[in-house]
Amino acid sequence: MIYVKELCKTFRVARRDGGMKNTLKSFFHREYTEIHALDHLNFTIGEGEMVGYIGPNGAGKSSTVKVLSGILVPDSGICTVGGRVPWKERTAHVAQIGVVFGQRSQLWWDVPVIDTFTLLRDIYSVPETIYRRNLDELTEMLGLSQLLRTPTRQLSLGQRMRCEIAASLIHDPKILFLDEPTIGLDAVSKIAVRDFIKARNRERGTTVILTTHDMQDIEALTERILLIGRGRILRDGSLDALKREYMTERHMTVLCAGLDADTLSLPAGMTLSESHPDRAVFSLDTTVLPVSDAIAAVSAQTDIYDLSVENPSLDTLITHLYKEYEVG
Amino acid sequence: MKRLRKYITFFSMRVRCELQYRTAALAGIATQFCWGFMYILLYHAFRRTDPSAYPMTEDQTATYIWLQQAFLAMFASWSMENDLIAQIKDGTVAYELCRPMSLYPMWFAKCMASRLSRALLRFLPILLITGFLPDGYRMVLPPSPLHFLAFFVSLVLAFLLMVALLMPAHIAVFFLLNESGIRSIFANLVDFCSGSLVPLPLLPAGLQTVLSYTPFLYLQNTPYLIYSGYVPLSAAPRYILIQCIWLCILVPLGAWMMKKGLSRVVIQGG
Repeated sequence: MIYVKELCKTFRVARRDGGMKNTLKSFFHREYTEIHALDHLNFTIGEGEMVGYIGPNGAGKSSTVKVLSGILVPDSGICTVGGRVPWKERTAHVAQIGVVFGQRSQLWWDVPVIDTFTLLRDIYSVPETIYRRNLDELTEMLGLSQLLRTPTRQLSLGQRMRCEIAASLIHDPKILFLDEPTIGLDAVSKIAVRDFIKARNRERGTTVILTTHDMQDIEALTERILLIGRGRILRDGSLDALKREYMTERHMTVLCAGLDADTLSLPAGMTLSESHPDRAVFSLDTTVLPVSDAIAAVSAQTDIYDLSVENPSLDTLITHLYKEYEVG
Repeated sequence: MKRLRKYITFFSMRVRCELQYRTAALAGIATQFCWGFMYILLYHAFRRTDPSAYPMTEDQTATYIWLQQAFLAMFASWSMENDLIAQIKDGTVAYELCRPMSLYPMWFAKCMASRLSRALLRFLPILLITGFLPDGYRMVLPPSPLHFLAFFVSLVLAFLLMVALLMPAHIAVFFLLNESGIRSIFANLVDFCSGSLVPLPLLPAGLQTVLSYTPFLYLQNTPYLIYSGYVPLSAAPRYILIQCIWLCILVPLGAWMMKKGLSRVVIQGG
């Protein structure tokens, strides 16, 4: 479905130090720095896949989405989407895709949302029966019935985002690009948006590419992750494999009758990281020591009242990843 | 017809947006009356000083001014499409580029629609009321229905020509990233050369000859002079033909510029 090979795009950025002197100097002589937004990028995405595209700010995520949606012309490399080169056959290509840029709006500001939808219907030449069907379905799934008649300027961010997503799907796109679709949304709206995207992928087989900084989005939606940094794909694999590899540490918190830190004997792979009169926190390395053995070791030495085992957050994992690849 | 439909929807959207600003329309009408009277008083003063040196009759002058005021929104050179410019500057144009239609006709339609919708709200009251003013200030009927027909055709063409001239000014923002320079150059150039500052018959003959080789002479100046009979009916077809020729030059030129612009455009912001 999507095939990207050795894709490169370089931007020239004029840089100077602050201050009057440097401003005047740059009037005559500008120093440019070349930014390799995409640096020999390679990946393929199959039909019906749902892929999370992650990376730190400035890694090249948006540039990739822009190339894939036909807006940006790369310097070199191959890129085909559904057999077409996006920027060469732009009109035919964009009829097949839907795009949501979380930080921008495609809805007309002054008029009710439904007017934008009607316009999109005509721009994409969607037949009336199909338009009706899609609109009804989207209205129901995203809870838009009250919103459609409201002018865009009077919608809250969450309401607007639901309308933006609906607007991108009016024409049944085969591929959906979501660029930070949950940015700034509250928990309820986020979950509504995620559920909808998941359902759409499952029921219509829509290929979804999601860029986000929200790790809960990734966890809820995608199986496969593409990690990009400095314009290259650093990691391509399933979220589970990543977790297995990097999230080997567990925090175990124990409420107990009392522990003496000095006499405590712990098996290998387990360390005491916090100790209070009635509470202790241990770090476990699950590659060395199964959690059940750790519990057994503690309960042999004291009475456990309550116990919880936590994974480090996905954000910690990502920070770890960024560090390892020296990006971000 | 199917291909046209999106432009029609587009157009009606724009009109609906504009209709929300009723106060602006009323204020606009009031302003245009004031300007119109000021202009007419000014030119009458010129004329009374030396009637032999003044090329137009009183009726022709008043009619020219009122037509100009009535259709001001269609030919307003200083008014650029602010939302298009904002889209380029903040990167929302990305959405427009994700639509399966060419950007040039879409922008052309948008530009036409916002100008026409503003004019639609304003021109009728102005033309109706000024038809009942005292002699010398009154908007008069054209000499014959044929004059009116020629005026109408020429007005439509002049309007298309105006939009075709505006397109490159908008497209330039892709390269310049700021519209204020191009806006003031464009506005002053067009205003002066197209007779919206001073009616063109009042300019020196030499300058008028020079202008006749530019598209500017064929903007609003042409239909208004046809209407008042200053340009004889027999000459009208020639003017209309030249308008068509300029359109055939400027539209492909704008479309080409757009294509060039897009191939090297960088969408601003994240």
